[in-house]
Amino acid sequence: METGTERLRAALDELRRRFVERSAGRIAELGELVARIAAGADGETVRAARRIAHELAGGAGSFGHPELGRAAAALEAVLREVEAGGGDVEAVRNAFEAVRARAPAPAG
Amino acid sequence: MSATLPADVLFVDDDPDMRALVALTLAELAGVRVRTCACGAEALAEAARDPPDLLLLDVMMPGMDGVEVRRRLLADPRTARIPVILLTARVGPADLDLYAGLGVLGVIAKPFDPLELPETIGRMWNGDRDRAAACRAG
Repeated sequence: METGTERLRAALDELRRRFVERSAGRIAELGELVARIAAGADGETVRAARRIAHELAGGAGSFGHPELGRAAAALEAVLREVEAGGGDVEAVRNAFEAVRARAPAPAG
Repeated sequence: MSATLPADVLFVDDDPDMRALVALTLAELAGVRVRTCACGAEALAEAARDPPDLLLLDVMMPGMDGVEVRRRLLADPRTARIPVILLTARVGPADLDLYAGLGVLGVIAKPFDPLELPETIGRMWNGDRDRAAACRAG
């Protein structure tokens, strides 16, 4: 018979699996937004990218991927500088590459 | 679990993964009833309709952010007394200064360990009740 702890562990594993799946889509979308930012996109694109970086920064560590979370937080900070009129495109690219390099691999 | 917890929590976060994680851990580890909302407007309506024991509130959300949600809760007599804990990745010094003026029970930083979440909430919840009891005792 499955205990409460086993049931919780299985449910957490399922949530972590779904997070990894969804992260792949978020990181792909981030890559497209960063390419548009490098090409001189508007503030709305920067805000959209920052929002995704923020979600990853907040969620990744809670789902067992702290390195991804830290990289996403660094990207969010760079995008915030760009939004404020500073920062530079190369820093955005580098921070995004750090995020992509830490993307968790889907299980199985 | 040594700390008592609120029986009914309303959790507001635009991230579906986070809503699922918090609902699961609070329900399974502590038997808390968790209702969830995906945005500030939905949360204000739900809190006014059926006030929870505790509102757990993300800060950075599209549309109305958590700070504005808190201000609107305080402005409405139906929701002004609902205790609030912020659950947010925005925890820089300037952010914490801002939150200090909102009258919340506490701030939980993302990322967090989901298995420790009930205990963390319990500490904030019980700390507030202890302070209220001390005030009543004079």
